[in-house]
Amino acid sequence: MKFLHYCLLLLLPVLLVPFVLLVPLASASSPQAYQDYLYQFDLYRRTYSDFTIAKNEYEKFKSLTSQTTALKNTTAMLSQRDGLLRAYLLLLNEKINENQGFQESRKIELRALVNAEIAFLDAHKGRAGSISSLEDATAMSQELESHYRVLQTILRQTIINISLGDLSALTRQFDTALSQSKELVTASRSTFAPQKQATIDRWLLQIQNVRQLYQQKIVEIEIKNNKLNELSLDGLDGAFRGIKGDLGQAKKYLTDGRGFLGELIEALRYQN
Amino acid sequence: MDNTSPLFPDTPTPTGDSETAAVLPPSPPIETITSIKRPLPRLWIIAIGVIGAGLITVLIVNTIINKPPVPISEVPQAPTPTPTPVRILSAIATQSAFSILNQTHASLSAGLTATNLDDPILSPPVLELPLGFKP
Repeated sequence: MKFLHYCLLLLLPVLLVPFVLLVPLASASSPQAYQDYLYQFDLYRRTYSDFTIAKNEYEKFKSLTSQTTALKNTTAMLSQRDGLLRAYLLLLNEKINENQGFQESRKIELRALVNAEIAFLDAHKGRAGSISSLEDATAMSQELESHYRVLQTILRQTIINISLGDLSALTRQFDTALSQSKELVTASRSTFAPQKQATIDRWLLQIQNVRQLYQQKIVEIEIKNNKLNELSLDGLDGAFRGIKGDLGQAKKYLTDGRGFLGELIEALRYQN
Repeated sequence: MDNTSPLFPDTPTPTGDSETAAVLPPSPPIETITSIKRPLPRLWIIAIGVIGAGLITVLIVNTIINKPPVPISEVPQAPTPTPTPVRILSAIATQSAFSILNQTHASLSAGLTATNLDDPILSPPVLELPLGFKP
């Protein structure tokens, strides 16, 4: 019996260690993806710097040696550029997975958009091996350049959708609190003085008004977000900033509504 | 007139000779100022004493006046208590539905505080695409 007891004591840490190690890995996907993205960005910066130096030397000397170095460094930079964009898309994918506000169908829809871009970049990166001249490298770069507006639009639309998902999770909580308040107000209609009851009814209406304003803003954001793909690369950033401002305004409505709900709860807490 | 004759024949003319000095009657001893030892008049002693006492008094009074005041810990006056309105809990406040509503509200508040819609992690990378090789 004592032997069995000792055996269990020895086995316990052996069984617990893998469990303890695996739990953080399973729950830290987006931070890990972000670290990978930062690493890829660092690699990209280095390869881009090497590319710039090699390009300048080639344009200065036009020698075969400088041409070969320029070709090698350009190919490495093009490949790393795809790797960097891929790492960023993977980060967005993790953020979509972790978002509490999306329905599963919406997650699938958004992941499909991101995965299509990852597939494009993988195929593009695969062609880097066949580059044999600086003209080939330029042509390969132009492939990404011609697709870049689409890619940038999808990146921005996904970022906005992630924010909308965050707000959606909060909206669910807000709506639950609002419906719980309404039920309590209905149930306690006879317990309060008529004057207080009228105040409570008016406050409830005001909370619903704020909720409506919030909803209108969300619809406005969704329309603007869908229209991002009609814009040029230059107009994209301005529109993106505008939508971010709208997201802040939507959150403000929700925060105001939360404050009103708090006042209503305090009013319901006391008889007088 | 004989100019060499002494003006006062009785008075011996000092010649500087030791013989002549020995003849002259001894002159009274000259008293020097330093050697005068007269007792101070009583009036002066009284005056000095009065001045000294005055100075000491002034010093004492000055010390008392300039003495740093002992910090007096002022007891803050308690604000006049205003009668707290008696608030009676409503019948709903004790219901489980009310505490659930409270929890939902607290959870919503925490969620709103924690949500950052402008997450800096998500800012997309900015890249310089054209290679820029001169043809």
